[in-house]
Amino acid sequence: MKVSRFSSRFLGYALFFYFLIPYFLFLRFFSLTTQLDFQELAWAFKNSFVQSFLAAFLVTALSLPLSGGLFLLPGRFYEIVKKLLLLPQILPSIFSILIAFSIWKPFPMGTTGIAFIFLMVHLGFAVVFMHTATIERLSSFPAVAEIFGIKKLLFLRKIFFPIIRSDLLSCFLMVFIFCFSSFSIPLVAGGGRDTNMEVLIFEKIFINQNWSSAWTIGILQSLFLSLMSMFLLSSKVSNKNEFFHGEYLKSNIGYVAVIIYLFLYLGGYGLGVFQALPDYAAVFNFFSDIWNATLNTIKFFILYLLLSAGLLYLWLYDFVQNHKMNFAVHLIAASTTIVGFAFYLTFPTSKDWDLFKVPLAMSILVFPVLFKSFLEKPLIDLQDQVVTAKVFGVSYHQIVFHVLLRRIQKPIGVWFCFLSIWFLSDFAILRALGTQTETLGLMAQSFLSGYRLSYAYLLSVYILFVWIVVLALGYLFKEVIRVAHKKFESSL
Amino acid sequence: MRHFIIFVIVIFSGLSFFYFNKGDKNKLNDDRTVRVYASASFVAKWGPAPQLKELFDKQGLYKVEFIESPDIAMTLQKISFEGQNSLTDVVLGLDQFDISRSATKIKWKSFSQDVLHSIQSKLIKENDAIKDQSSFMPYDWAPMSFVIRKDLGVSIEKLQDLLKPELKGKIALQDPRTSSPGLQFLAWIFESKPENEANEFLKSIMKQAHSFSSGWSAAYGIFKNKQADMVFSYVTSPLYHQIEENDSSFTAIDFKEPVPVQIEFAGIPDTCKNCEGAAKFIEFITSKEAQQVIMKKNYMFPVLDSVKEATEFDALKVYKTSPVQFYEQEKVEKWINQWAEIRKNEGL
Repeated sequence: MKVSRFSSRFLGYALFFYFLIPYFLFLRFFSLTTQLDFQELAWAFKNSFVQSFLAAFLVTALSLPLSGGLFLLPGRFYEIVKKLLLLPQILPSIFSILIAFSIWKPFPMGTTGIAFIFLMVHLGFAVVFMHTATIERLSSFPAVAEIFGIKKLLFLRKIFFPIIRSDLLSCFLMVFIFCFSSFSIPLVAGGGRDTNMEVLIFEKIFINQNWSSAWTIGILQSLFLSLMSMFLLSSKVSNKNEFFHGEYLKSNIGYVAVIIYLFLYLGGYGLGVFQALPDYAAVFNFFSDIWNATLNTIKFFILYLLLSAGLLYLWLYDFVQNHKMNFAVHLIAASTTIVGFAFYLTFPTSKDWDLFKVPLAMSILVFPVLFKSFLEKPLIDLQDQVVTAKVFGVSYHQIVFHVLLRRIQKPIGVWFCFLSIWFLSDFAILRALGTQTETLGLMAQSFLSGYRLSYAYLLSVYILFVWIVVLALGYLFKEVIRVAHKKFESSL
Repeated sequence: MRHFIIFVIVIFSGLSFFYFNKGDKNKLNDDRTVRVYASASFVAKWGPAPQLKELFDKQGLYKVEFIESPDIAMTLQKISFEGQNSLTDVVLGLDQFDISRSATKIKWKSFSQDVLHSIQSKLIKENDAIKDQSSFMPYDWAPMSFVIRKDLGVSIEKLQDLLKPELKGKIALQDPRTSSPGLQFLAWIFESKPENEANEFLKSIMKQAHSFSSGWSAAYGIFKNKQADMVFSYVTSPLYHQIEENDSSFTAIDFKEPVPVQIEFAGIPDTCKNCEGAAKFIEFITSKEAQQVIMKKNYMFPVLDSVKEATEFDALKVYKTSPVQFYEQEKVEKWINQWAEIRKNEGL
């Protein structure tokens, strides 16, 4: 009995271990230290906390009315707006910084400034997150409330907020975690409060060459965020009936606010692109390099996607087997510097090794947070069905494919959407890994570090174009599989 | 369980595949390849590396392979950890601060001082710190100052002028904790003023700063986007705009105080595998043809004085520069702590 229990849990332990690989690798080279300047650490922690708390609070508070604005958008237009709203989170942070500086003059340096840039960067994501959560949770409640003549305020107070409360907390924590581990924004806009935990980690490496301290601070930060995730980000079963939004959820103010937000952000970005347009011909000189970088990026992306698909399958299998989510779902805030450097130190620096290092590191850094954001909740909603299928003796493999994957197609679509754009535009993780293969994200970063800001703007537009192509191909692939599957089933 | 084993097998077969293909380690040495670590902007298509490779390989003796370094601190740490297993032959992009920092971690090969002294360079001749060492070869340099648009309308001649009220919140600076130019500016202040005056100046400059960016590129981007009126950069920066963008509206301020100099050095770790080739490469980067490429692509002054003759670089005014120093780690840390303390007490 003991053996079989161990065997059933082995997959769970192994998966958890997989996401801890960089920490074990790091232990090979450095040891944890207690020789820390606790006053300095407390100052950095306080700054990180205050900045992140304020930003997360503002973002969450605004996300709710703005998400109501999305209900006023017609279907096709809604899909476009949704993608545009995600744009601020994926563009290099220097663009967001420049846009924020051009909106607010003179820019308020310090906590207010940081919170404002974080607001610009994460509001779009939060709006999409809350909109999706509302659809998932509320089913026909809004329409029923209207039919029964319940007043809007009463509906919001007695029905809407209690149902959506856990998602609000999730949204708050997601933004809090993103902000907590941010590096460049607090530095540029931070004033006296710019020393946060990530800056401290970097300072320990760059100035003091004290890797043990950096590594210990990195562990403390990850531990704190994982504990927050564990205790506060628990997913509950949601209502899976069909959703009718009615009139109560629609918000004209939210609609206007979404337009203003997009106008400000995209306007700032568009202005940057417009000003860069005269350099179009110069960028065209790099056509062959951009093309090669595109092919490299796609190559890495396919490997990364395959690895992520493998991990997803194993994760779901483990979920079916043990009837609970793997603990690695809380490992959502690994430090990019720590993970990147662990791999940089361990593996040779060559293009061949990039094929291995990049998908592995990206999966460790990105998989848990994307899983937590988009897949955890829908899966928990399916727990009862998993139990029923198990009672009927359906194999775990079949439950994964025929119960889980079939029912979470939509969240997987959103997951894929984020997975692809985060990967296509990333340069921070790839740079920390010491990647030798030129990718689109790295190329944009190289432009930025060589006087060529305008080229970086133009390349970012191209990256967005590639992303849309990748999404279209993903959709096509899904449709081909669906049709092939249907034909196969009907032929039987 | 079965699935996980399959997954693990796939992962580890991938690992093994790469591991066994790692045989290129020996192949590299057979190939007489010189492995050179350099920054991303140096290795980029528009940087000097592609042309340098072509020229060096054409000599027929050795081949150079440029490896992009994510960050110089990380690369030095990697070399230090790898010890005898390190495949690095040459490290480029070391500055005055890196040299002191790496002294305890990495042993560097010495080269004959004759090589250094044979270079016709005012920079080397006038700076004892460079002349008296034999482990690091300078290959480009530039004085650092504040780059402005010519129509700024504020007269700036000395450091103290940076505190003029018209410049409040208008200066884009770099954070000395994360950026080498940021450290240069800090060192400039402490080297050109007595300590108490330097501290007072730092307190005042905090209010003048638009922002302290994590790196040079972000600060320069802020300046270029007209959100700041001046940026701490290289005196050669205006040349980039003049040559590449046909825009002559930028200039670097000529201060009465001597300005700091950023020098980029090349070094050969003691653990080099192709040490002979590395020495040849070091010799090569100070050759006339390589210096021309570095100057034109990196927008930095060549160490070989004759190379800039009759070029746009020659037309740049001569800036009075501070003597070059390799700063001690303790001194740098002390300055940074003072800077951080002042910054901590400023703003919200």
